[in-house]
Amino acid sequence: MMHYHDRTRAAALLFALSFVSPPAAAGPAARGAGDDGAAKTTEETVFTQWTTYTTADGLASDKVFCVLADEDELWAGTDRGLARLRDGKWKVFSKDDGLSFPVVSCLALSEQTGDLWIGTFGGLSRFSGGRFDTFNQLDSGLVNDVIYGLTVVGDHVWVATSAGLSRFDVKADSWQLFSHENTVMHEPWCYGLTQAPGLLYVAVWGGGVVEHDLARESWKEYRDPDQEMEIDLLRDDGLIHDVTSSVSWADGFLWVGTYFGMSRYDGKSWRSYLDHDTGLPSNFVNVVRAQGRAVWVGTDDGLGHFDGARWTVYRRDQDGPGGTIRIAEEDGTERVLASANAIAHNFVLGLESRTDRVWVATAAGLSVGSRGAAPAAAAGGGR
Amino acid sequence: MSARAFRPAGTARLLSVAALLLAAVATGAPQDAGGQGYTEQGTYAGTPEAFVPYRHSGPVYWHFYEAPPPFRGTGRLTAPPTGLRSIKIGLIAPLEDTADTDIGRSMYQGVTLAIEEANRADGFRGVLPYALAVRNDSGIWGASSNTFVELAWRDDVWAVIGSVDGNTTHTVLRVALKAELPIVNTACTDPTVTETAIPWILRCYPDDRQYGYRLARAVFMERGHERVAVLRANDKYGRMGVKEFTDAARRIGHPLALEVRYLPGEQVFERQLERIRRAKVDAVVLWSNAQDGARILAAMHAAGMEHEVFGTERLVSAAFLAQAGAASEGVVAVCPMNVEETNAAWDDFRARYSQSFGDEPDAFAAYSYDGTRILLDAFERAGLNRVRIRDELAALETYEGLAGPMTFDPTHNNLGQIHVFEVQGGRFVHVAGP
Repeated sequence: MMHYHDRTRAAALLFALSFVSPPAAAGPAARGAGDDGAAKTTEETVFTQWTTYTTADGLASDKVFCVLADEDELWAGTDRGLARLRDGKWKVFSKDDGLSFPVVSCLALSEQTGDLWIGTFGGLSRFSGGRFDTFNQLDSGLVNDVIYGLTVVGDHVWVATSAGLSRFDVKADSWQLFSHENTVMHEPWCYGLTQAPGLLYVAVWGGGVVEHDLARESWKEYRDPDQEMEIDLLRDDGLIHDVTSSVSWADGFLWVGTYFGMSRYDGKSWRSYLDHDTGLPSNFVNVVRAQGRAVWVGTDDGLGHFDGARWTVYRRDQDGPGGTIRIAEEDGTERVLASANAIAHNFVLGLESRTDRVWVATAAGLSVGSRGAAPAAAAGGGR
Repeated sequence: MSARAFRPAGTARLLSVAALLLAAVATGAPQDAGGQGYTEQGTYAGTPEAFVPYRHSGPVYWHFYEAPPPFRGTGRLTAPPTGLRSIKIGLIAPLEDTADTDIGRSMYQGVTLAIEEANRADGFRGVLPYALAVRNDSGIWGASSNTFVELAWRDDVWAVIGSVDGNTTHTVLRVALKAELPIVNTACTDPTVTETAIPWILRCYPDDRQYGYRLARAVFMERGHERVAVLRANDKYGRMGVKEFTDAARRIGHPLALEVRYLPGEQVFERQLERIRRAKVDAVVLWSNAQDGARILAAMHAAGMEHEVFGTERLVSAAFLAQAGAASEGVVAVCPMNVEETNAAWDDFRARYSQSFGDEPDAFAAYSYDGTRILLDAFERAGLNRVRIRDELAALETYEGLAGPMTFDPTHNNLGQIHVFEVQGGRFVHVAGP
């Protein structure tokens, strides 16, 4: 078996610990701080225990695009169906069960109704009361069936598609389309969504980031200031690149993933993160996940965590099951720790996180990380 | 093939980094600025020095596209499936209900000829025939992503060829990243298509950067014009295409006097032509397809406008000459190959093509044939594994095609060789090389 499995431990880790909402932090995170802003030692902040699920455990496919953790359930969207972990067992949902299409790219939960919204490459599905309802471009107001992002704001389900942004008012049963025709969007290719208080942010492929004021129904665009694809003219002058892949907001910080690095916007100024000048694992950022004032970053070459001062990068060794944890401090010091187990694969596609838990969707399975005993320092660490 | 010309590392690059760092310190710039550049391998996309953006602004903080984007995902060990009866390849091209059906037909015929010839030579490794799954590119937002999903997950194709439209190509590329399906593009000129860092595309057809640079040289440097207007299609082709020409013109001291748009398919151009006349320009650059360009030229001709007119590669076609008639005389256009050149391989291809389809091949047909051959060669080397097929395409550095020599940059984009033609006596005559 190529990947690490420990179903007993996984079940224990998943359900023995209660989920804790990240508290709001008042100021910039201290060096070595945890996601809650409190100073912690390295051993308290790094995730050293990893458990991986694959098809051998009941997943629909090892290629996992997205993950969502509910109170007592874990959902995984793969290229061959939707899977749910409940009571330690995986159940796979397919088209036969009512899922609109087997390629599941994104998931969102309605806090009001508890409904699970499922974005696929063949339409939108809603899982409610054990039943799937399907919405597609032929039988609803959904603008396009190829869906990349979802978020639920009250009664509104926002859907990012290849041809624009659709908003479904669940109560009114009505749809509205937002695209380059009626907003400031440079292009209608919408790939990621996130909420901030009163705001919605959209990652627009080739169009940077668009901010939507939900109350005023106004739109604002953030673009790469140099307007040249091949360069970043000045560091921290704005969004690093117009080709954006993911957005996530928490505690005053908007994080933007691109295939050319990562950007952070605090409402006033931008900060850029590239793999040569920070601890970012790779410039090819598939997904960002804000948590408190920190961020998890899923790249094509590992999983990163940045708390405002310290970068922690998790990678699996080529032959597994172990890996390394590279910790880079703000002052330039760096340590590499060895871990007995690691994420399923370094190609990270989706993320979900809580204070003491992170779920990592990868190209070779779904991994669950938690904190544990301090790993040993590996050779080559420190400088 | 030869060794890749673009290397991201090495002594020369380290020296250039050191030199730039020293320069940054000397000028008081931040020490981490300008950490790399194109000193070793020249400018990005072969951009002439005079056209390089921000070249007077000091060190650029970071240059992207210096190294080929890797694919670090899984799949290289995936075994080929059993029970296959053919190797399916997808083709997305504008074949009906669009203004680009001429291009689509050329693409289809070029691809078809390459596949038929491969099958007559016993197909994939002598054991399986290739088959084409053809889809129309309607150019409608979103439709192409649905089409690509069908090809990837319903038709189970091993790779896709296409398309022309920049919107279509971008949307299918984004799906390709999830589907992990190689794309060979043989007709799209939107420069940004290969500038997304998605490692699943190879484009063999030169893009509008190259046409823009070559046109700027022809218009301002070779023909000495100073005040120029652009009349362009108000669509993605016109919007993205004209950018590099406009930027290049500005960077050499000739900012456009006027940029005016028309809607694709528009029949009357009085409003646009009046604005051009008032701008008192001495040349007009058309960024249009053949049909629109022919109508514009006819309108200019009827209005007595005698400006020298320049155009993109889409004008270099029999359809344009037939429709524009006498109004096309003197039009100067760029083309990604020298269709006048005579050599045995091209002559033989023309004969085979004409025999199969009853008409003459154009650049789109030639590039589509070449792109298909590149893909089939990758199949032969890689076997039936999508990631390995991608790896083979990504490893391609140069290729001697029927359309001419190809040089792929780190974004897997053929920089090509752009020629200049002029309509003389009712036909396009080669007047300048790359």
